[in-house]
Order: sequence, then C-alpha cells, then structure tokens
Amino acid sequence: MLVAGVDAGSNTVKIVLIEGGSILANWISKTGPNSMKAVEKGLETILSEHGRALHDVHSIVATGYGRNYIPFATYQATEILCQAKAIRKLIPEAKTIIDIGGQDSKVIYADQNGRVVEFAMNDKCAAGTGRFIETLANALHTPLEDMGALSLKAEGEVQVSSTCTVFAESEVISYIAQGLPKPDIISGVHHAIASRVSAMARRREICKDVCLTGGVAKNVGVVWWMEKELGLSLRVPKEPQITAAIGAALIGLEKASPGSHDVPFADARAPEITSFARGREKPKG
Amino acid sequence: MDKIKPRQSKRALETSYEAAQILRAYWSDIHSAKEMGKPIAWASGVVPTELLYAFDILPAYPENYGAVCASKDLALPLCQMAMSKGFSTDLCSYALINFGDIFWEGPGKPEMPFGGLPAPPDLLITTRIPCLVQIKWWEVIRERYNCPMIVLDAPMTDGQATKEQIDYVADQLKQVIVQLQDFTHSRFNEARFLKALTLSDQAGACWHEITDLRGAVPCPVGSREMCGNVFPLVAQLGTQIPVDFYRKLRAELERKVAAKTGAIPVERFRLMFDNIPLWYNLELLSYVEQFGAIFVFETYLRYVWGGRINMSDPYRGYAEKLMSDVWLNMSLEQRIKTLIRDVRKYKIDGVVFHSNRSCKRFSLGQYELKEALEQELGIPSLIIEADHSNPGGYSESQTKLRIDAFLELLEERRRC
Repeated sequence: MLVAGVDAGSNTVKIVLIEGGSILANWISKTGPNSMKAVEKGLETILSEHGRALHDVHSIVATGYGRNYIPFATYQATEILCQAKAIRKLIPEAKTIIDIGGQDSKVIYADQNGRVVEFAMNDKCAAGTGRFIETLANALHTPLEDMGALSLKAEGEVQVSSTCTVFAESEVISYIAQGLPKPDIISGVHHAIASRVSAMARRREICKDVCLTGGVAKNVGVVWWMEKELGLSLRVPKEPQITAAIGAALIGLEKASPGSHDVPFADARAPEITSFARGREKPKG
Repeated sequence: MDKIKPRQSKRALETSYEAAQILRAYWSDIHSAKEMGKPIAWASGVVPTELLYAFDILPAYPENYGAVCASKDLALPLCQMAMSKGFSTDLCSYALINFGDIFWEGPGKPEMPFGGLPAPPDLLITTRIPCLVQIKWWEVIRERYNCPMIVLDAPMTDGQATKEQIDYVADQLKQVIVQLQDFTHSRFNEARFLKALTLSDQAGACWHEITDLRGAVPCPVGSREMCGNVFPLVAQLGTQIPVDFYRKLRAELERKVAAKTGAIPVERFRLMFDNIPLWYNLELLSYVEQFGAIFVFETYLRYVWGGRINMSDPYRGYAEKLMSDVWLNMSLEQRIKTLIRDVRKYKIDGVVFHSNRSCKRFSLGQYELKEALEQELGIPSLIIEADHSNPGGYSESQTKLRIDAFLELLEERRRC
C-alpha cells in the first residue's frame, strides 16, 4: 500500500511516500506563494520519478500550516500529532520532541506510549524560529546552509540580546560594523534561538532523550547550543526536516487499518546524526 | 481528526432566535427614551442595574457595546483611533473601542451598530468589582461629557464574602440610592426596587438552571449560541424581560434534555471555555463541533452574569450577590476549587483557557489552574492567546492549530 504524507510548512513543503512499511521517497522544496501548487508539483514529481501516479496513492495525509488547503488530501492532522507519530517509530525512547520550523517552534511532550500529553508553542514572534536565523543570515550575507559550519569556527562569543528579530537584525549589523568576526556573531545568533526554545521546553519536565526536528535541526550551531542549554545530548533523526511528513504518512497507514495503532514501519531505527554537533569544543572566549 | 459533518448553521434552540429581537428592542427603546428626554446612564458590568430600573433610568453598556462592535468587525479602526489619541495599546479593548467611538475625529468613522451608544450620557455608574480599569475609564468619560458619576466600591472576596464585607457593600448600596435620589430629584421607591430584585433573582435562578441543563449528556446547546443568549442578563436584570426569556429557554432545554437531543449529532468530547470569548470570532466556539466536540460550560457565562439574591435580607443579600460567584472577584484558591468542582459536575474532557490580553484579572492564574486540573483530575487543557475584542494580535491559523492539536490529544487519550 502506497501512502503519502505531506507537510505543507510555511517555508518548505515536505513529502514522504511510504510503501511496504518503509520510505519509498521524500521530497523537499520551497513552499512559495501557493502551498497547494507546491504540493501538487512535488507529488507529481516524486510519484512520476518512481513510476507512479496520484491514483496509485491509497491516502494522502496533510499537515503543516497549509494542511487545510490541500484539496486532494484524504485526511488532515497537525504537525504536533505527526511529529509524535514519527518519533515514536524513529526514536521510541524520545518522549520530548523539540521542533524548530520556519514559522514557529514547538515542544511536544509524550507519555510512555508515545501519545501526546502536552505541547507548547512559540508562534507569537519570529524569535525562536527558523525565520530568525534566515533574517540574520541575510544581514550577515551568509548562505543559510553555511551558518552551522561557520559557527563552528567561532573563537569568541557575542550576545544577541534582543528578543525581537527586527531589533536583533540591527544588533547584528552593529556587530558587523564593529568588525567582530562573523563566526562569533553567528554563534551568538544560534545561542539566542537556542536559549529561547530551551526556556520554552523547560516549562515542563523533559525526559533525558530529547529529539530535535525541523529544518533548524540541520544547523549544527543551534544543536550545539541547544545541548548546552538543556544539559543533555539531543537525538536528531537522519532527516529531521521530513519527520512530520513521515508521521502524516503513518497516520495514513493507521487509517487504512482501523484499530491498529502500531503500523509496521521498517525504517523505524534509521541512523541518527546526533553526534555531528558533539565533540566540538565550546567556542573560546 | 475526522470531521463528522459540516458545522451547523442553524441554532439548536428556537428560543435563541428571540435574543436578537430582545437586543433590537432594547436599542430601539433606549434611543426612544433618550429622544424623550429620559435619563440614560452609561453603566459598567456588575453594577446594580436593578436600582437604575427602580429609578426609571435606562442603562447603556459601553463594555457590551464594545463586544457588539467587535462582532461587527469594527474594533480595529476604533482601537486605532483611541491609540492615536494617546491611549495605550495595553488598555482593555472594550475601553479602547469606547474611546475610539467617543473621541473619533475626522472622516471615516464606521457606521456604529444600533445607532450608537446614546450620547451624551446623563449619568455614569461603575464599580470596582470586575476591574480597576473601569474606574479610570469612567473618569475619562466623565471628563469627555462632564456628567455626574457614581462609584460602588466593593472588596475582592477570599472565598465567601465576610459579614463585614457584606455590611460594607450594603452600605455602599444605600449611598448609591441617596446619590440616585439627588440625581433624579425623586424619592426612592423601595417596593419597586424589591420587585426589581425579585425579578433579578428569578432570572438569575433560571440562568443557573439553564447552565445545569447544559450539563446533560448530550449537551443540548453549545457555547456560541449561549453567548448570544446572555444579553438580557447583562442589560436587563430587574425587568420582566430576562425572566420570561430564560423561562422559555429553560423549558425548551428541559424538553431537549428529556428527549436526549444534543446540539451536535455525535458528542465525543465535552469542553469548558475559560475567560471572555473572542467576540470578533465566536465561530471559534462552534469550530470544534465538526470534530464531535462541544463547549458545554463557560466560566464567563456562569460566573460573571446572573446569580442568586437572598431575598429574606435583600440589601445584604444583594450585596453578597454582587461580590460572590463572580470569577473576577475570586481568589486563585477559590478559582481552583470552583473549576475542579465544575469539571467534575459537567463531565468535562478538556478545558480551553483564553489568555486574554485585555483582561489580565480574568487571565491571571490560568497556568496554576491548568496545573491543578492535570494534577488533581488528569484533565488536559489548552491555553490560547488572544484578546476579547481587539483582533489586532490574533492569528486564526495558529489558534486553530492549537485547538486541532488539543482535539487530537483528546482523541489519542481515548484511543489508547
């Protein structure tokens, strides 16, 4: 049975196809101005690449901010439920999930069975989201994907204290004007976002296995600071950006077999990339 | 989360349609009265309306009118006008709407619903019971229109009002009577006041019974509809109108409960809503119904409006009623106790707390309430951030995401 999970996020669209209990393919692209069209294009491409068509898909489960605007979706579910469903399979020990997306950040607390018991969200301001890093990467004239690696070269630390993204941008520009090294400023940016998200996560007791998901989880600098702030090693899935889409597809499988809450999923223990941030020395200074 | 069927557009109760007629008649009457030279008082919530009616003074309610403006999508320009006049964005949006209205300058003023508040007011009356903002707000109105103002002082209670507190407020009531005599140049007609109190108590009793009838499974009427039914209780206590309306509503509810007719086809989750609703988006209250969830109880509807009066000792009974059973006047301990009792009584599966930017007195303690619910009853709850009347900082998709996720959480709890 072929099922699709679609995460129509504010910044990127993620699509996962699951067949025979394992991931057949995944797709990530920019959302652009029309999430429905981005999803449509993504689905067509990913299906045709694997010699399939839309009618071969048993169900399409949509999540993300655009979940209700995908007319061909069979079901809708929130990213909160989808993340919990996916992480329950990918990293069953992790009962706290921190998801840092483009538009918001979330902390999901699950019980022993992996079911959501509570969640916290920061959605009132861009600080604490991927947008924060994106804006400051622009101010630093640095490609977003280079931010993590560059921050590893930090020798000192600067403090980005403003809680407002717009003011933080001015702060960063003033650091550039002062001639402070770019890696140090970037490290300060990562520290700022990590401390905000960690503060939200600590509102409730967090378990020792904490999973970090979302596009920002690919940024080693943020992961490093998150680990330092929380005082533990984070578990990052192999592809942290597509976990909500995996969860959506898993919901599709659950719906196809009513009464089953434990659908088979062969990629259940896909290798993690947790250690990529660890082993790095704390920035000097 | 599966949708059960599209949201119902028609009301669950036939009697609910009469609320709109009552509202229209009230506005028509108050404008006619103003034209005829009868005194109009601008009154805040939880003031002794019954006294005003006993003195033939018609009350108009800037707070309630703020909610009306918000429901007609007029809040934003009015709040912005108030802010342009120097009022803080952090001020209660009811007050901002009123200030935007009364201080509007220049073109582009929205057409005010129901012909606007009858201005200028002849009298102002307010109290400290819901919040201190009201006193300052009413002072601004007094400055604007240069009219007399009466303040009924009342302390915050810690659980039940003490004998001294009741004596104090009863004495305050007598002082208000003296001030009203001076204002109207007429003698106080005590028999008329006691009649008004009797009617008020009857309406209050009926409202409590209606609240309890909504505790039936399935719940016969949801929150959105009941928010539209509260107006006579807000504005007309002391008259026959709310008594007749709520008796009819109660009778219809009794029939629905006896027949086990629910407001939604399949009732899967029973929810409680805390704080003042989002007047510009009451749809949020019925949004959950398509997923088999229904708001069956609201702290705002039960613990702000109505209430019983001990008629064997009417002045002290009325003083006690004004202070007690009012959420805004409860200590945190009492709120926790009350919430836990009601969650049990109304068989609530989950609570949605509206952290209301405009009303911190209502919102304070919500995290403690949330914790208490979880620890004592294992009942999950959700906090949404919004404002009762100013849609400026409100995000529909983010709020619905939280609500959707909360309903999924309830669903998962039931499945496992």
